[in-house]
Amino acid sequence: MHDDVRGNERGRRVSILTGAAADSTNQPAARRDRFEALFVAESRAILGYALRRVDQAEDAADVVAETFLVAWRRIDDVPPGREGTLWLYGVARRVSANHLRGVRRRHRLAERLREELMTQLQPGDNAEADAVQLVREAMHNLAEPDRELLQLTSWEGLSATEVASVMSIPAATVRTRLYRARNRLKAELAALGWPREHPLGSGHVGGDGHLPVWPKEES
Amino acid sequence: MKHEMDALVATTARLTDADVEALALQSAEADLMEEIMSAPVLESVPDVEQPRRQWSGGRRLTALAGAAAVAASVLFTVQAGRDTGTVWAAEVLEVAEAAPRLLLDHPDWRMWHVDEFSVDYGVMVFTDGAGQFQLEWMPLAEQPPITDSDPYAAVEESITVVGREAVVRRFDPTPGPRAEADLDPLYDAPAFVTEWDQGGYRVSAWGWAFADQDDYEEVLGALREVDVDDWLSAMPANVVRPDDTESVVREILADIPIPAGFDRAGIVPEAGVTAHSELGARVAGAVVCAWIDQWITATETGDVNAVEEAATALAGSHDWDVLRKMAAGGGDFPAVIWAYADAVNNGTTLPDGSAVDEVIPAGSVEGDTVLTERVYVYETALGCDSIAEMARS
Repeated sequence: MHDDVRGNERGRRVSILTGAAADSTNQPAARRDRFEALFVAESRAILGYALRRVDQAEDAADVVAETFLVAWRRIDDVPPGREGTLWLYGVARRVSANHLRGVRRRHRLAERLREELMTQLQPGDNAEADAVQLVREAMHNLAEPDRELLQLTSWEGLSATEVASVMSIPAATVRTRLYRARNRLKAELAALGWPREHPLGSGHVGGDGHLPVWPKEES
Repeated sequence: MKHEMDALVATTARLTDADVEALALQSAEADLMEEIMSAPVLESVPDVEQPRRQWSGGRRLTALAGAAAVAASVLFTVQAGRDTGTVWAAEVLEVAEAAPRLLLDHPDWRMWHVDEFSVDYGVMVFTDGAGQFQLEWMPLAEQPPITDSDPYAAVEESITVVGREAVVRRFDPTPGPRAEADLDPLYDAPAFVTEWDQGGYRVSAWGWAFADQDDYEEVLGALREVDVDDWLSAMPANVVRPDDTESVVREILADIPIPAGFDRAGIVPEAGVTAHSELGARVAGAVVCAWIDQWITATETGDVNAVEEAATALAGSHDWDVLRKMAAGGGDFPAVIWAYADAVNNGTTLPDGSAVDEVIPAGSVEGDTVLTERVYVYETALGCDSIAEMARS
């Protein structure tokens, strides 16, 4: 049964790929300028987002590559200013989620960044303050949406409105959920015996260019 | 200073932004940037009018938890006047008869949007144009006593709301410097929440961006219990009531070709108030899922006609009225659909490089579930599975 199959001319109104031969000289200069500015301004923020979420540091290279590849291909759709940053976080969030559930893609174009990350971020001293491990365990016990809210707020320093934009949920809902997530985390910590006597050390290691930072997380 | 819990969460980050900034990656990054710019740009042909829009909800390219997620970022307008003599559908009446029927009776405040509406959970948001007042209901059985002290509250006081004993709390904004661009008038003002128990429910009334507690309590004092008709009549105008859902679905499908064997009846929700945008996403999503399914199957079996038919139908999705309106209103679902339509018609991958028929293999872990059979990525990305599930429920 074909209700109202219209006589669309194939391709008449579909998007096309330009520069199929990868000839970047065909791209308008304005687009390149815009992308370069976006990349320079935001690549470290997206790399940080990725590094904090993937198990292997080098995998973050693929998340960054894929996120900015989407941005480049959709450069006309990327909103200006801070909204553009949130747009990137939204894409990185989706790419990371795919990555974590096994839909991984090795990007040839990310090879060099991957190698650099492998060199500079070696798995090493997994020692971590007990207190940090306890917080990590409490976080692990939260539902994924609660965990994500808290991470975006704390790790990326996003406001409730910004988290709402990244997660595509109403800001009012973010505020409500954030309030509850913090209380749930507190309850989880209490259940695990928080506070401990151990002083809370830094969960990360200072940026000396060589970071032994990859304690394996149960998942 | 961060909120105490946020500060603890920060300690679990493997790297701070400063750590990341300190990495010596400039050369590799420059390579990557150039490599990316050598890739083709997805560009529209000149005669295509791209829906331009204000960025309001962030681009939801991630797996949709269900078509309902699409509706969440859309702001609704207010219904003017009352539809007298309406016969309410049984499902809506069930909610209205069970849930606390409260409305604000205040000249400056109007209902803005309803995000959730069921017997078990509801969220209604009111606004005066600047502040927000959010009413939420949930089953009392799952809640701690309202009198339990909250360590984060700056103020906790007893108060009476709609004749019931309640507790009002004030939460002060997280202190610390903010960039001006990050200032969020709702988040940076104190938040107030009043909670009380009413008819088996815990009701929470959140106030955002109020000047002070007196202002908030003035609005809180304007809450009135109303009858079923008044309450349901106050629902936003573009909330579809079940008794006219069928006609709205017909309207949505007016310019959408549907594949053979498509189950129209299966996509009509049976219960609750459904926003236009949610219904539109559900209907358009279900049709697109069916076309992609046909395209993949026909490609595998070599049925050239069926491949062509599906590709043509998907190409036409750029013109579907429901998607164009959704995109113009800030919804992100159309962009995902169009990415698939374009990939099918151009013989290319999706913007992220994945194939239209990419699968998540059996044995993969999805959240807490191990997949027992393979799942196409598009089914997750477009919410096909949850659309089917909603239709079944």
